[in-house]
Amino acid sequence: MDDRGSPSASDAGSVAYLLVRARGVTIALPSEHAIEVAEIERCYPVPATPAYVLGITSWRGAPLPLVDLGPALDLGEGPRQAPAGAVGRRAVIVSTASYLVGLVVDATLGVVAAGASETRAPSVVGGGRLPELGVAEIDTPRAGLAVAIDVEAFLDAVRVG
Amino acid sequence: MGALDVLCLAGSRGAIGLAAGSVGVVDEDEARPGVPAIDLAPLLGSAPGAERRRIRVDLRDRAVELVTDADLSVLSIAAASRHAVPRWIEPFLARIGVAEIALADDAVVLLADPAALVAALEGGAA
Repeated sequence: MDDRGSPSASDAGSVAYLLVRARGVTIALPSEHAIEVAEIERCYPVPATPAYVLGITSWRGAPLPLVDLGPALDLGEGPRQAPAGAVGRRAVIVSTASYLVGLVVDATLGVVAAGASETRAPSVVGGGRLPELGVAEIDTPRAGLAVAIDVEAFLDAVRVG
Repeated sequence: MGALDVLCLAGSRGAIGLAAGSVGVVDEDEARPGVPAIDLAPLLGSAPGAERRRIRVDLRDRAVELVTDADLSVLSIAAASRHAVPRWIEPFLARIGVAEIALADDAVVLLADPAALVAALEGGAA
């Protein structure tokens, strides 16, 4: 567990997002929810869960569920990931009012601040559950269009399998 | 709260611990006619090379056997290793009677109530 992805301060009126890639789509996670970006060292399978639940790891001495972000958002086809295959991938540890979860991503792209001029209602980016869960579309200089999701709503939506 | 001894069943899909006092491994030559058997393979998968074994679960009013190809071991789980199930994953694990998670040295063991596990399996949870 390394590489803290601490949210950067944003300009007044703008929101800071951690940009991540999941199955070819750039997702913007409000950085207020991102505690840490960590490399997964161990992942243990958990029965009776959907395929996007990769398993449980130990984080700061407590169990932490690991959710594969791309498949959980139903973003296109990809190989089903075995828990052992999660080792070495990156997880964004997110904390919301209700949950503490590791979101496993394909890459982290950094933190951006987006103001009103860079933010608009979601339209065409992505697929799967993004039309339902995307709350904004952000034009980023480095990563192009990104879809911001409501992390709590996303975790609620995929919690019931 | 002292250490909890559990019979740990570790398969390819995960590991479940059942309080050792409530379950026991059935000897191969021990005939138990009339005792219903539940296959754990859909839930836990199997462990390479593991023998197929039967686990007796004594419920309040009856006995049940769990049939498994998982690795079996007895673990002593220290109180400090036992944790509440993280809230996000509660609905999934509650379906199979898991109320706690043990973080062992090299394993994560779901601590299940045997009666709740049996009820869940009989209800089609796996």
